[in-house]
Amino acid sequence: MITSLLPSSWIRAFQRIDLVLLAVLSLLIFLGLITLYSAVDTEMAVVYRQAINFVLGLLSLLVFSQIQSKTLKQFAIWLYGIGIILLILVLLFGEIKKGAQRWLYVGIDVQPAEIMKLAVPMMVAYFFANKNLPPRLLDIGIALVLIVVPVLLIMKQPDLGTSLLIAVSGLFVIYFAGISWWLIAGAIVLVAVGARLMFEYGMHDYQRQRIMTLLDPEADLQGAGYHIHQSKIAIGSGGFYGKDWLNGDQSHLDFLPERHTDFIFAVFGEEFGFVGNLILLGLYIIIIWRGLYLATQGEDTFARLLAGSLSLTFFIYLLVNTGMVSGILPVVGVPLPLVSFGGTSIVTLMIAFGIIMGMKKRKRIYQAED
Amino acid sequence: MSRRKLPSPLFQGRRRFLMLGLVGLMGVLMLRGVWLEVFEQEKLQQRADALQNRVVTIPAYRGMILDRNGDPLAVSSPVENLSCNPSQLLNARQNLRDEYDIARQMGEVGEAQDKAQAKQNSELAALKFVKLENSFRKIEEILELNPGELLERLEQARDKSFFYLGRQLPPEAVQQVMELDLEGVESSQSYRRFYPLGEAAGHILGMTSIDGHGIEGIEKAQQSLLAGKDGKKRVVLDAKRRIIENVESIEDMIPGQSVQLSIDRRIQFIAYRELKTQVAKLNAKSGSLVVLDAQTGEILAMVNSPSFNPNNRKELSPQQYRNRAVTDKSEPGSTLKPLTLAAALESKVINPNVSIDTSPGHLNLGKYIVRDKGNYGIISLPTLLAKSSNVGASRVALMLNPRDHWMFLSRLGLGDYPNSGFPGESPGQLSNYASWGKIDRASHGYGYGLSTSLLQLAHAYAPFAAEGKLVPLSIYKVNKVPPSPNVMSAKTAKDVVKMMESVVTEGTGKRAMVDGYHVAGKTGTAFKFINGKYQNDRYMTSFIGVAPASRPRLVVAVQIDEPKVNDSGGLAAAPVFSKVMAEALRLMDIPPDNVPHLKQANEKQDQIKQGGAT
Repeated sequence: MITSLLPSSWIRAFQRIDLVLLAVLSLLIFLGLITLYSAVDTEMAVVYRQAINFVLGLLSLLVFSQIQSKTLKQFAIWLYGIGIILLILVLLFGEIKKGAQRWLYVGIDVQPAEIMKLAVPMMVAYFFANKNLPPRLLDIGIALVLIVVPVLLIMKQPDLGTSLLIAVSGLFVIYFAGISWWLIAGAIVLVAVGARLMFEYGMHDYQRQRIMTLLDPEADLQGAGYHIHQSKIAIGSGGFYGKDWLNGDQSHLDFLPERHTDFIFAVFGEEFGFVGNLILLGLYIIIIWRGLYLATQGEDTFARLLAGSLSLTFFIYLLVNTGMVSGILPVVGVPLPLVSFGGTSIVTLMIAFGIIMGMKKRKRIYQAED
Repeated sequence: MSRRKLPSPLFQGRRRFLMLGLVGLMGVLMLRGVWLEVFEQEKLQQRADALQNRVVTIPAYRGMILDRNGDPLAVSSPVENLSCNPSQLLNARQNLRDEYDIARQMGEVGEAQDKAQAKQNSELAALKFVKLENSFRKIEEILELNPGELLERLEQARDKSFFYLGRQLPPEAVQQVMELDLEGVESSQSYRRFYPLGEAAGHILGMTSIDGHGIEGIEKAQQSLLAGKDGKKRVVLDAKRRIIENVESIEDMIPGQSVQLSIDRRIQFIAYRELKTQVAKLNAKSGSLVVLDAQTGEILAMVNSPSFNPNNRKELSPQQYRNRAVTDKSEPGSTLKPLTLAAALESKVINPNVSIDTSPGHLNLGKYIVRDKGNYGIISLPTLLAKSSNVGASRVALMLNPRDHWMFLSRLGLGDYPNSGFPGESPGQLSNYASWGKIDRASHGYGYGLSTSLLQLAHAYAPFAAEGKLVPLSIYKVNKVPPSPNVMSAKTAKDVVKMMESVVTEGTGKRAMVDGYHVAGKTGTAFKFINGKYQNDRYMTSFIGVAPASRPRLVVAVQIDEPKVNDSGGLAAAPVFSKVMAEALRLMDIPPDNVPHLKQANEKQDQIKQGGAT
C-alpha cells in the first residue's frame, strides 16, 4: 500500500482533508484557469501566475485543515485585534491606489480588510462559543458591535463591497447562533430603511452612481453603464450553447472591461453559454452544500458557527459577482470566487476552505484523547 | 457538554431554511441566465454585431486628369481622416494627464522598490500624454489652427458622438496618433486632390469638394467618369474601434477613369503667366485667353485672370473662379470685322480686290452716326482691317443681305452654345435678322449689337485657319477629327487671312508680330455698354489672330477688360498674343513660315559684326 510508505502524520493530514470538497474545488479551479486563458487572449504568463496562486492556496488549505477548532479559537481574538489595529493604521498611513486607501506597506503590501474576512466570523463565533444558545439580546448587541467596528473602518477606506461582505459573514454567525425570526424580520425592515437613508446621506457619489446605473444601465452607455451593458451583451450573445472556448468576440475584441478579474463570468457565459453556466453554478452549489454539511459535522459550537458562516459567505461572493455581471445587482468590486484572477482573494478563500475542513469532528483523535 | 447538544436541532432547522433560500437565490441566477441567454439572446447578439461589425466604405480612387501629352493636371494622393468620439478621447486624455502629473510627483519623491513598477507605468502614460499633445500640435499646424484650438473644439463637441479631428491629413501624422491606441479614435482612408499647375489651370480643372465631388470645371463635368464607384466591405472592430479583420467585400471598389484633355500644360502655363503679368501691369479688371488648334477643334489652353489655386481654397471668391472665357459675353467690337468681310466675300457682294469709300470718315444713319478716327478715303479691304475702319465695315455690312449675314454668323456659332464641355457656357447673343434695322445691320458689321464669349469668338476665327471648316470645339484630346461643316470656302478663308496679315504688318496690331512666323489677326477696342449707355472711358480690348499665316493652324484670342493704361487692343492684348502664339507654335512643333525674315535679321547682324571688324 502506498499509504504505508508515507509517514503517519502525512496520512493523518490526508484523512482530515475532505476529498469531495477538494475534488469539486479542483474542478472549479481547472475551469477557472481555462476561462482565464481565454480571457487574457491566451497569454500564458498570466495563467501561470494564477496557477501559482492556486498552488499557494492549496498549500494554505492543507496547513489550515490541520488546525483544530480549539486551537483556532485561541487565535480568534488575536487575529481580530491585530486586524483592527492594522485597519486603523491603514487609515492613518495607508497607500492610495485607484482612489482608495486599502494597502499597508510592511515589507510587502497587505490589505488588512482581507484578514478581516476571516477574523470577523472567527471573532463572533468565538464570542458565541462560550455563551448559552440561543443568545440573549445583550449578546447579540455585543456581537453586532464586534461586526460594526471593522465594517465601519473598511467602509471608511472606502471599500463598500468588502465591508458589506464582512458584515454579512458576521451576521451569518449570529443567524446560526439562533436569533429569533422576529428579530430577523425586524432587522430586515431596519436594513431596508437604513439602506434608503444610506443612499441619501451616507454614500460617495460613485457608489450612488453605481446603484443608479443598475436601475437604468441604458441611460449612460458610454460611461457608468458601459460595464453592465457590455457584459449583458456578452452573456446574452453566448446563447444556449455558447460561442465555444476562445471564440467569444465580445471579450476578445476588448469590448468587455475587467474581463480577467471581476467580469470573467461574462467571458465564461459568452463562450460556454447557458449550459456552461448551469455546470458552473452546479459546481458552486456542490461546494456550498458540502461546506454546510461539514459545518453540521463540526466539532463544537465555534466550529459549526464558523464553518457555516464561511460557506454562506462564499455563496454571497458568488451571488454578488454573478448578480453584478448579469446586471441584477450593482457593480461592486467583488471577484468571482476561485475563478477571477487575483492572488489575495484566492489564498483567503482557500484558507477558509481549509478552516471548514479542519472544523470537522476527528473521531480517531477524539477517541485517543478519551 | 450539554451546550454542544442544544444548538444542533435548531441548527438543523436553520440549515434547512438556509438551503431553501440558497436554492431560491440560485434559481434567480439561473432564471437570469435563461432570460439573457435564451429569451434575449437574439436582441443581445444583434447588439454585439452592431458593436463589432461595421460596413466601411472603400473610397474609390478618383481618376487623373491628364494633359494632351499625358502629363498630370489633377491627381489624387491618399490621405487619412482622423475622427473621434469627443468625450471618450477627452477622458482618455484626462487619464493620461493624471498619470503624467503622478509621474512628475513620483520623480520628485522616489520611493521603495515595489513602486518601481507603478512608476514605470505612469511614466509610460506620461510619455503617451506628451505624444498625444505633440500630435495635437501637429494636426493644428497642418490645419493652420492656433495651438490649443483643437482641444477647445473638442470640448465644444463633447456631447456629440462623432468629431473630425482633421480631414485630409498626411498618413504619417494620422499614424502617429493611431499608434497611441486611444479609445474612440478612428482613422479612415480618403484621397486629396492635387493640381500641379495650381492657379494656371484652376478654371479648366475646377475643383472637388472635401468629399471628393467635382464642383467646378472638368471635375464637375466629368464627375461620373472620374469618380468611379466606392466599394463597401464589412469589417470587425474592437472596442478601440480598430479594424481587426475584413469579413467580406460587399461591393468592389471601381476606380475612376482618367480623363485626357486637349490642354497642353506648357502652353497653358505660359498663357497664364503672360496674361497675369499683363493684367497686373495694365491694372486691368480681368483678362482671358484661349488657344485653339483650328484643325482639330482642340482647346490647347484657356486661362483667365484673376484665377484661383484649387490646391488652396481658403480664400476663394466667386469673382475668382468664374471661367470668364466661357461664361462671360461681351460685344466683340472690331474683332468681328474680318467675319463681316468673310460674309460679304462668301455672298459674293464684293470681291477681295474691291475698294471701299470711307470718306468723309463718318456715316449718317438717321440719328446714329458711325465714326472713324479719321477720314481714310477710298481704301482696300486689307487697309480697312489695318485701320479698323468702322465706316468701311458698315458699308460692307450694309451691302449684305441681312439673312445671309445672319446665316453666316450663326454658322460660325454666334448666338449658340459652343458645346465645349464646360459647365456654365454662355451662348452669347445674336438676334434674328428679321428684327434688324439699318443701324443694326451696320453696327453688326463692326461688332456691336451682338455679343459673344471669348471662346465663341476664337472658335469663329477657326475656319480661317482650317480652310473654311468649322471643327467642333473640344476640351478633350481629339484622336479623330469629327466631320466638320464648311462654313466658308477655303479661298475666302485664305483671302481674309491675307487681309488680316496687314493688321499686324502695318495696322493696329503690330505688337502681335511673332519672329519667324507670318501672323494674321485683328485688334478690338470695344466701348463697354454699362447701364444702358456706351462708356467712352471703359474698353474691352482684344486681339484675335491665326498663325502661321501662310498655312494657318492655331488661333489665339486674348481679351483684356478695362486696362487703365494702354487701353486699346493693339497695346493691351496684342503683346500677350505675340508671346503666347510664339510659344504655342514652338511647342506644337509648327514650322516657321517666315524664315527669310529671320535670315535677313541674321544677315543684318553679320553685317554689323563685319562692319565692326572693318
